[in-house]
Amino acid sequence: MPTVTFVDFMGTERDIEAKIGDTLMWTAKSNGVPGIVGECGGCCACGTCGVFVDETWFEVVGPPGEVEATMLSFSHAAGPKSRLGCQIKITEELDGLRVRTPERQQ
Amino acid sequence: MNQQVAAVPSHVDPSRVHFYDIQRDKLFGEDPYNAGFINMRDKVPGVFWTPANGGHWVVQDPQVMDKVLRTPEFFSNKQTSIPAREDAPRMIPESLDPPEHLLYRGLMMTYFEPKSINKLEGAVRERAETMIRGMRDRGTCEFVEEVAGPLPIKVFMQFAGFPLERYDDFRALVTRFFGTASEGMTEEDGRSLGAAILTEVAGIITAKQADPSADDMLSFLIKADFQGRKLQMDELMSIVYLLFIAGLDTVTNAMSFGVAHMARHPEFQQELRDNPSKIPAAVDELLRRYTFTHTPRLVVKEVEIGGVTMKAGDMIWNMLPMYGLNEALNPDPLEVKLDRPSRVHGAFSTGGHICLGRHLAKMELRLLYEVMLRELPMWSIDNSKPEGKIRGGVIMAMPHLWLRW
Repeated sequence: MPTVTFVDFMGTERDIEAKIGDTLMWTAKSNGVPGIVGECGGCCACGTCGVFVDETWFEVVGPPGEVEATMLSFSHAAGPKSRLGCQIKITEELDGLRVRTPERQQ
Repeated sequence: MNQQVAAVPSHVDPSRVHFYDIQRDKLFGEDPYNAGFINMRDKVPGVFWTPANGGHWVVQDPQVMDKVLRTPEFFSNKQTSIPAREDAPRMIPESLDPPEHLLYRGLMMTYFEPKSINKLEGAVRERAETMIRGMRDRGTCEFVEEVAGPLPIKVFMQFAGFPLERYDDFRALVTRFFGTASEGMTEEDGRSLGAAILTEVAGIITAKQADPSADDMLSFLIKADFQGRKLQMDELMSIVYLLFIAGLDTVTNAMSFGVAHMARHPEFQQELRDNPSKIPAAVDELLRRYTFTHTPRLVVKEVEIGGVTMKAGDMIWNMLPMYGLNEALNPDPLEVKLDRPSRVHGAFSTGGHICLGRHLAKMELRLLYEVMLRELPMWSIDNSKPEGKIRGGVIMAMPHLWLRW
């Protein structure tokens, strides 16, 4: 199973074994990672699962789509290398992924 | 008076049939939050078929509801009337599915996010204070007519850019619109009310287009860039129609259910008086205990779910109150407790159509409770007046609530 590292706003790191096919949002929520709300349940409709993607990983996960970028603009995790966790599906390729979560989403 | 009772279709197993009239069922008049809903939760399958209202599915199992509300590929918002109505006015973004839905939603979110909503706080508090202080010396009020109706509607009309002097007309239209089905009016009455609302909506937009300079949502929408163009009249009509329907009756009922609970439970009211910092938790806890919203969906592809097969064209009634009443999600769900370690409710639904106005609604509820608890002595139900029976339908309502203090 790929391992994903979440770094919270205090700098605390959490290495989580992620299930392939889950979203990054769900991986965070089901493992009690703070700073991820995911109010709408993964429908790209609330902008409350924003994460800052580590510089070196941003190219792998790719930039947000049009709707996602709009939703992200409402999150405290908005930034040039940000994504919504619900729009990132866990794959083998993401083993080692590193993202930072904001103090709060809104 | 169970209208349009239909034969059970062959893809429905007889063990899954239970008669439930979403508009006029007798359980609504018999304390649904302590009796009817609880019986249904405990004795009726989590997914069942009712022959009433043309025949449709009812989902009360939260896990199944999660799937229905989060999987628009199978469960569409194209049709949200039960019985299905081909001529129902389109509501943007409510009646749309992704990806179109999310483009409009993204545009409107600018006005509904906490940052924008927080700016309204002062004006809302002032309105609430004026209303409550105005009745303080009287010792009694009909809460729905005097507070729960006018407060959120006036706030919303100002926020959206509707003409405030038309308040009485608008409130009457919306009250009648939601009451149509449960109060024995005909489908034709519903249609003519919908048409009356659309006429109002067209008038509001036309007036606003002449001068969209104010800082309100409608002015913003008229001027907004959407996909490199301006919104057209039919789009603006659909959006404003939705705002009209969704914004003018929902918070009213949340306030009525919440304040009625405080009236019936003096110890709970006292707890809040002693600890005003617990009011935000009370807002969520009362929404959980008395969720009154429902969200229909249309099945667009055959699907196996919750142990049944649903066919394209079937309608689903999602019983959002059942999230809050679920024992696994909220232990001792009938208890109103402010210190729950976690709390799950469906008052704002979930999925792509999660209520856009939820931050506004919660802010209004919090401010009203704060002002009432500060300005009024302990209030209770005025038993000398007729009791308000709950009305069924997509937005359950309390038609009146007499209080005294």
